Amino acid sequence: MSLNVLVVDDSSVMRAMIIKTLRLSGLPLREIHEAANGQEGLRTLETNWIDLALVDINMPVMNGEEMIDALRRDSDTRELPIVVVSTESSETRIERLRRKGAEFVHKPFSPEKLRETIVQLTGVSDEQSQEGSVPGGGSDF
Amino acid sequence: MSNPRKDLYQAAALTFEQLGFMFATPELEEEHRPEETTAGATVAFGGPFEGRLTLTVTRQVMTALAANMLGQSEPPPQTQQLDALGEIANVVCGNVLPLIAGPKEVFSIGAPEVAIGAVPDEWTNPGPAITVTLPMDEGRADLMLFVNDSRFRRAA
Repeated sequence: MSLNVLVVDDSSVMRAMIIKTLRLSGLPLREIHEAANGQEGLRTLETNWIDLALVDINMPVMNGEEMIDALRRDSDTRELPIVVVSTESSETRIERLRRKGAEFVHKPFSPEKLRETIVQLTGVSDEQSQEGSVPGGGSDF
Repeated sequence: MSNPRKDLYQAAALTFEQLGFMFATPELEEEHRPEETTAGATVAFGGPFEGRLTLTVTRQVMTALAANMLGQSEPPPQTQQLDALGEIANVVCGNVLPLIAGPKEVFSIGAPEVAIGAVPDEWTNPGPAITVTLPMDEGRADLMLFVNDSRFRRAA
């Protein structure tokens, strides 16, 4: 299965870094969408099929935790795989995010850690990319 | 209490290394010593204590940082350079606060503000609680952590 991914971060440079890491990861990717805050992210989800969301926490307009709460309230997105990519280091808050069904990767992250977390969460692997899925995908940016 | 100055240096060095692929050197190269910082970023935070982290960098650090983060050989546009600088300040702040306060405390970190040239007075006034300089091959980064807590004024 090739993944349609949504990357949500208020830093365009960080979004570009994450996208580059995804493209170099060997994971099977289809389309990669971007959003600068939680509200934009929810709008993107209304019009695009997304298999995985990578979400920052500290963002203006709507933060990542608020976005995750909205996703979990919606039956269409309740089970959406979510990886929080954030500087958040509070054990209290990380545990709260995990209880909402999100995995967590701490910034600064290593490409290996991000890839490993996505593989564990989604079950996709390099093998699937070798079976004919289209790697790389495109970007809205 | 931990050593806040050491914590700030550690968080900054790790962030520049892992996000910017830029490494702290034992001391600043002679050619970089007269340089003034040319841009800055600040993030405010609240929680068990409140304050702000302000980061200023010399010119080559700013251009190299953004280029490295984006994997480009040429310096990106200034807007992306400032974005990168703001993100570094954000990540350093997010990493230093639990080192100082412990892993269970919850902080809220504001959106980064950025500036070219001299940074606004309110970013550096009153005087910093903790100041750290990170020398690198490309130049230097100065970090100032302001904390509204009497324990940190003693540590400055």
